[in-house]
Amino acid sequence: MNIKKITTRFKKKIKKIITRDKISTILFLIIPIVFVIIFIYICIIWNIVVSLSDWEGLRPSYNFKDFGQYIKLFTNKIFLTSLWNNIVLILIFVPGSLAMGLFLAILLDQKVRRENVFKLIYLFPFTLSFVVTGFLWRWMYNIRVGVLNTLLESIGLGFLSNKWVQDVDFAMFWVCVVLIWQYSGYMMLIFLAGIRSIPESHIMAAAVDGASSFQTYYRVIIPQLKAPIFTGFVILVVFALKAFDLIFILTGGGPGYATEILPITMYKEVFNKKHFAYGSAIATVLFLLIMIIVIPYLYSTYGGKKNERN
Amino acid sequence: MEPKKQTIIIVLVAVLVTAGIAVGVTYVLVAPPPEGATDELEIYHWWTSGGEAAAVGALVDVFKDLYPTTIVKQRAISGGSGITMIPIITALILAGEAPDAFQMHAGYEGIEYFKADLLDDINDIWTDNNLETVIPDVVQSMCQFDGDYYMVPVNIHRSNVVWYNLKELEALTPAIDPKTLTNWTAFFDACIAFEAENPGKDAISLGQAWTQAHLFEQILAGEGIAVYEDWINGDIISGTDPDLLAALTILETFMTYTNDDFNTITWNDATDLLIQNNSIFNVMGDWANGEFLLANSVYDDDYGTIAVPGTGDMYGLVVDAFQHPAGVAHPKNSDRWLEVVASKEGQDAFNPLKGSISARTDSNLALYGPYHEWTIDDFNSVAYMFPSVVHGSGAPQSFSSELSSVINAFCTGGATKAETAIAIAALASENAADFTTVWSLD
Amino acid sequence: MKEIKIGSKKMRLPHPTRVLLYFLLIFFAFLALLPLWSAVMTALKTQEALIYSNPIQPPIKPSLDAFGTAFNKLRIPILNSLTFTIPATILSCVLGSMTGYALTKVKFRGANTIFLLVIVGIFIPYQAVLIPLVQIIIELGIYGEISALILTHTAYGVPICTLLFKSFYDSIHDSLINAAKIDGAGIWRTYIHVILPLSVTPFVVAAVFQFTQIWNDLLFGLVLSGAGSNQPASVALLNLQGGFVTAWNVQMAGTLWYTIPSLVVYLVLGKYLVKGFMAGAIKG
Repeated sequence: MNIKKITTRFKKKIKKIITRDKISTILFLIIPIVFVIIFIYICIIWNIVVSLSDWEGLRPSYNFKDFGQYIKLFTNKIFLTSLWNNIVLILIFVPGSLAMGLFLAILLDQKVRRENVFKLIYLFPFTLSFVVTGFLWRWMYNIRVGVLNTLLESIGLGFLSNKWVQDVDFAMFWVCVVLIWQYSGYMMLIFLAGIRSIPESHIMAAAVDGASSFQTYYRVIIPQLKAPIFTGFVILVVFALKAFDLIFILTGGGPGYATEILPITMYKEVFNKKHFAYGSAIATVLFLLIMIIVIPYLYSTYGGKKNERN
Repeated sequence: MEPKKQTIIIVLVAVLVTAGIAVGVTYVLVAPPPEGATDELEIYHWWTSGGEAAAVGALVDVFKDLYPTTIVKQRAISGGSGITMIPIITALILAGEAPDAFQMHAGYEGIEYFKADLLDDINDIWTDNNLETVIPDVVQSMCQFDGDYYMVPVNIHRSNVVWYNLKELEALTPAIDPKTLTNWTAFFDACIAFEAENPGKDAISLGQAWTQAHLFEQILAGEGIAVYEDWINGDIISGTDPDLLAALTILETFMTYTNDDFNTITWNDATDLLIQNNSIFNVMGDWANGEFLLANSVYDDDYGTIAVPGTGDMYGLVVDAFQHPAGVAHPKNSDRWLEVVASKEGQDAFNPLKGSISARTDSNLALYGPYHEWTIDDFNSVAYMFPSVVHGSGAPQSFSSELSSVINAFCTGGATKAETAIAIAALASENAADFTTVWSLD
Repeated sequence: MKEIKIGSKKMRLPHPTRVLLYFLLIFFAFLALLPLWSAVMTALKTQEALIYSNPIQPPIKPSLDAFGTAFNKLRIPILNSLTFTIPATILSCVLGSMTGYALTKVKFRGANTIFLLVIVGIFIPYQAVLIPLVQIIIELGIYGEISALILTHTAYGVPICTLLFKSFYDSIHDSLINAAKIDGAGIWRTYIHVILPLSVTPFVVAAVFQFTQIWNDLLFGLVLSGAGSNQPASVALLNLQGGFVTAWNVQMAGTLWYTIPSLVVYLVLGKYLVKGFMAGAIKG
């Protein structure tokens, strides 16, 4: 009986707090939600509207036209090259960074002295602005006086010196090398965290079974890294699709169209040629590409019943 | 604390915060821009290399002498041919924050601003200063849209110039007289001779990106003025056009004599290679003359010029201009600037340092150097003049800005001759609607 | 991790594998730092020294000229960058904290959906909102002003900060919240008295991350500042070139000046960043 009274009073109190709390919650959320609605959702829809409008030149104009911009896109050789370059970028950069990150994580998992120092060093490139990375690597890759070519010559490997990002056939590859350099440290952290969160019992069991370290990694640890690999994959793909700043500085999209990716094409179309509707169509395609990858990821990680609070 | 008090406090805070935001936003929207009161002139340009910076500095000095109380703010955005500046200007103009004047090529480059009513016509400046009597006809027409004047020219540059290193040419056995190089065969023979006697050096110095397209349009003009005219009217739309392919073939041969790192060096780096005796030829507009002046090279002694082979009777026009954007912060200063730019003093201060000739026919020739003697002679006697595509005048932006990338792809081996010809033709056909001017060059 | 550790054997002498391990670690550290090292060496040289030495050799006569030239040109833009980066960082962290708390600890229906809708914002390519964003900034009349960059960076920082804070708040036991509730505390009080004191770590992580991201941005700076008197340092760095010959020493000096603030932040607070990433990663 006593317990009943206490619980009923408790429930009444909770009810009171909840009504007051409703206002507070709204106040807490109002500004950020408004920001997100305006700067993200409304802007995205607005952008799609522009791509369907007749806006040409410097006078904004929102009369609905048609899907013509999209049809133009997919028959335009420059757009298709740009799209292909973006895909190539993803195909080289993402696995490359994941592999490099995993490799570094495994190295650091070996009870290394001064582990934190190494961690800081490897993560350091990630904190650099793309502008900085762009200029640093322009200097590295310079054909005549750059770091890489002069280094190679001075240690007798001069025959390896080449045009790097000025080489039309491999430019994108060398751009990816820069990106891998920048992101491996971040991936390493994610993997290291993942490795360290594997219960020791698994590892001990493997040792008891007589597994060598290679086998332990290969069969016990790596398979359990699915979650970090997935996270890393999504983050890297998103960066790959955003890599405007770096390419703008490092190669400007050249030589020719070798490193031109969708964000650069969009920038040129809008700000050089004043083709606003066409440019926003390119941006929409870019957006959709990302969403195809991101939405399933978000849903599986954060959505669904298992995360729903009642 | 009592629940009621708490609610009151929360509401109070919310009201204060909202009021604060409202006041802040209102202030931002309503407060008058401070610049309107100050006496300023803000100009944008891309003249950042040595000779160019000196030239625009001299022009600004003329302005400052006349209007000593005005603060002149120069925004120099590096990137030849305006590749970095144009996007920035686009955004500024879109935002209604156009600077008081910005460097622009006369012709197509300004047409988008005109179409959006973002430029004020300046017929009054032209009449008040009698400009029609001193500015050549062909340049006049480049400064007009629909019959009204929208800009004043600051110079006339020539694009179809080959700079040669005279000392190196004379040192060859047998010595080569550059004045005999009026066709590509003779030109390439000279290249072969130089490279034979100077192993390790490349006969031609070339730069990155747009400089290659610049080179290409001179070669194309050399195929005949009628060919060039068709091209800039957007009429060459077949990828198998023989003139296109012929020009590309010449370009292909040309590239075999150029420096390996061409795609990483700027236009003035390439000219400097020639000045440092590392090459004998450099194709560049005559803004390159400033580099020679700075290095104290002597015309007809250390260096010299000929027209690009095939274009001996032509003058390729590159005309820089300034305009009066609509709704600028300092309209009076904008007009004053335009008048100074168009004046004899302004032009005579600017052009000798810049390498261009004055846009006025009454310039003080004594101030100009020996290079200008040669080119002014030609200007007065050539049969044809053609507006440059790469430098924003002859063709719409949608064509010219992509042309640079297409030619760059060809020069760096990323596209074959056939593919490049198809791409160039496609640029014309895909952007046909933008070709609103019909040029008639002969 | 004590006795049984993969890769190490209980021996006194350095095992050849260990030697190889350290060799590899140092080699990759070398690769990570090489560009920066070369930039520092280059920036300390004069123009002539550049021609006669190779890029990773230290200068014989170090000269601070390049740093001086670069600093003169970058002085105001760096100030501009600081002027918008610091407020935007603070604002987006505060907003992220409040949002993260409200969506995590306050149980209401739809909290998770709103959360998902917010963090989608982390992944959007800015090109997809660029044109409308420019229009908004123009309509607000703040084009070319510092406030435009503060507003933009705060707005686009909210999603990632929300995620960072939510990850952290998830690990706070609900019992703490419930205890506060029983004491009669509402959302606001709980936030101030319970959550905030515990939030020092996520604040530092979010602040370091945001500072770095905002400081390093180029696109918004290019498009919203008009390269005028309010341009950020990233845009000014772009403009540093252009002069007689490409002055690599000045270019590198400028690059270093630009990096120094974020480098300082990283060196001082870097381990929090490391901690934060690892924490967020486990959650993911």
